[in-house]
Amino acid sequence: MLEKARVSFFLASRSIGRGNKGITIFTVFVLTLIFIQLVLFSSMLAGVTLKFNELMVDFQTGNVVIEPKTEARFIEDASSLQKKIESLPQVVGTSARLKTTGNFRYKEKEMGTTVYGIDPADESFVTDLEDAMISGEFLSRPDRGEVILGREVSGGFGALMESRSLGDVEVGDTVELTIGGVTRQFRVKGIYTTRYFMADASAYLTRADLEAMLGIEDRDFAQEIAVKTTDGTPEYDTRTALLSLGISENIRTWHEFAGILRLIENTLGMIRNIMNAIGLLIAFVIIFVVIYVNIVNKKRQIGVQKAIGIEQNVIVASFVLQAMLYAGAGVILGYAFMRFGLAPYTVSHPVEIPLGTMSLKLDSAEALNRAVLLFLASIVGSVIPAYKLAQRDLLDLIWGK
Amino acid sequence: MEIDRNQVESLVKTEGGNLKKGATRKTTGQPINSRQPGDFRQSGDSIKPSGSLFDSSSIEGIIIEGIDIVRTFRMGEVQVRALRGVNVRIARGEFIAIMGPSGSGKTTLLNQLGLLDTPNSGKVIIEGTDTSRMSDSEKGRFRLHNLGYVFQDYALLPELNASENVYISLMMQGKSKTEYETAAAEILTAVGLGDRLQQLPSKMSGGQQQRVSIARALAHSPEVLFADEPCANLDSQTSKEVLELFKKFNQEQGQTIVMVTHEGWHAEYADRIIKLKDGIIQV
Ligand SMILES: Nc1ncnc2c1ncn2[C@@H]1O[C@H](COP(=O)(O)OP(=O)(O)O)[C@@H](O)[C@H]1O
Ligand SMILES: [Mg+2]
Repeated sequence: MLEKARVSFFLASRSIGRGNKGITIFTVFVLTLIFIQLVLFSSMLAGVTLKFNELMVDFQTGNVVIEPKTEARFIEDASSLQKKIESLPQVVGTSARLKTTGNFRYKEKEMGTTVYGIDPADESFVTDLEDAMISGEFLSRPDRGEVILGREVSGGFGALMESRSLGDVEVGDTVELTIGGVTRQFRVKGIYTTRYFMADASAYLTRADLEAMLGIEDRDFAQEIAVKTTDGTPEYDTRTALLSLGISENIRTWHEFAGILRLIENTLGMIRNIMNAIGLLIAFVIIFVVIYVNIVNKKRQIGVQKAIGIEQNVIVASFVLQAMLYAGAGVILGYAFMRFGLAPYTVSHPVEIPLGTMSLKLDSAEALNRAVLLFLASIVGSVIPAYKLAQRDLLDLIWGK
Repeated sequence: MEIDRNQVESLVKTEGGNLKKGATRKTTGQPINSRQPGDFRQSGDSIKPSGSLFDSSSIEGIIIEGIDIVRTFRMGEVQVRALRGVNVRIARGEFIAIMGPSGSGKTTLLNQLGLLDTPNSGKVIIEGTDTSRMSDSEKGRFRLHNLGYVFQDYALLPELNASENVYISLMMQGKSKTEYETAAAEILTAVGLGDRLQQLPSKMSGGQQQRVSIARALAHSPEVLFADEPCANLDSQTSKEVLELFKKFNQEQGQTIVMVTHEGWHAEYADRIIKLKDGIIQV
């Protein structure tokens, strides 16, 4: 068995080493492209997902969100709870928020949206909202009667759902906000965009203003406390630490809010699988054709090998090994190109997408999976023509047309 | 009398030690001679089957027997009867020349005797083994261990150098690296190419390539060497050298050789001439 493998290896290595260099280079090049094709879409999807997640954490949820106890409407004693949480070393900041739905009116247009009441200073420790202002300014603690709007609410600034928005609200304009039957005028202090349309469809007031509208002044209520931890702290650990503080409110990690993102991700994942299947089919056909052409050129050699007693399966194996070596080289080159070329390039030169900027993210497990599939395609693509040819009568192979 | 191969094997086994040395080897797929490559056989060193167990072909000294070989090719509607019932016997150590006009069936006969092709009817018995009962892969193994070929156009593997071309079959036999490299160097030296072991066929003259191909055919000390017009592509001086090489191996090592040629002066090197015409042996 080993002796046979040795002969196959020997023939394959000589064929690659001394055979037509052009065919070798071409085959490896094509397989490299196929491998890149197979991992590119996955990398894009991973990049987009990563971006989604970042936006989620950076602009909305922080890492962990504390919510009212089951059946309670509010978190009570929010500021003392905040202090308690902030005592944890891994916590960077907390923001106690009131959250409700309200209806904005500007000129003829109306729009329902989520309205947050925040402490602007606390919020800046948790989210990057302050840096997301594209017009005007972020709120400050003493502000009253001022609001900041996401671009999906204000309209303009490249909003994705312009027609739903209030339409061309600008900083300094006055909008009317109705919450639970209470209507008040607010001056637009700033407009922000996270480029993540869900986060951009909100509005922010100071907590004091929203308390007033909800009629809960000076009660120290909150509807959620967003908690930001130092980079790299696993959410699971944060949750454990919070539980050990004796917090009895609901603790949810940001992942639990990412439902719609999962949906989008799954949809894209299906598209990716279809693309991969097509890619593999193309890979198979190309490998088949390349190996077939290569083998047909060696018909006579195969015949001579058979004549002098080289076993048929040894001959077939030598071609399969050759195809596998080509595939291996293609995988290595393709992986190196993605890993050390394209992916780092998109990190330093991110690609513009509607969500903002995106970098490719190469996942090693996915890459390995694609490599295995490509190997399988190369095996099948070479076994078939090699077997068909090697099986023929040897005189036919040597002297036939 | 006709005996099934398996039957023969079992008979060989049961008789065990009472048999002559040669009879203990298997009838197919194994090297007929157990000597190392390059250790060439001496004339008369006989490994022969013990006569009575085998059919008539295993008469003392007969290495190949072709009985009533018929080979017909079908080309569309037309049937070409390349061999029409050929009977041949070749003794161990003989140098045979097969001659005859073009299209008379020389190559076809050689291919039948060399197990490169299968007759439509009749049989080829080599060393008492009825090869018509062998499967393709058994034939392959038999060729690997027991037969050697020299083709008119050398048929070297272009991606292998001289030494590799020679030792590939030894490698396939499972010999060790040292064994096959030494054997290849030895036999290439014997054919006068000791200084060109690493050369690729494309860098060699026709005469040199044919000598590599002879070395390849002889490296595993085959029972029979088959050569189909080995000098057809060579000039007369080179042809002479090649034929002398054959003669040398035939005389010094007792190598059995079956060579197809249509040049009279080539045939003079042989011990005996088999004449073919229209697929029939001429007497
Ligand atoms: N594979 C084949 N298919 C059809 N006809 C063949 C084939 N091989 C040989 N023949 C025919 O058989 C006859 C004998 O051929 P061959 O043995 O090659 O003759 P020689 O070697 O004496 O010139 C010729 O008529 C040839 O055309
Ligand atoms: Mg011929």
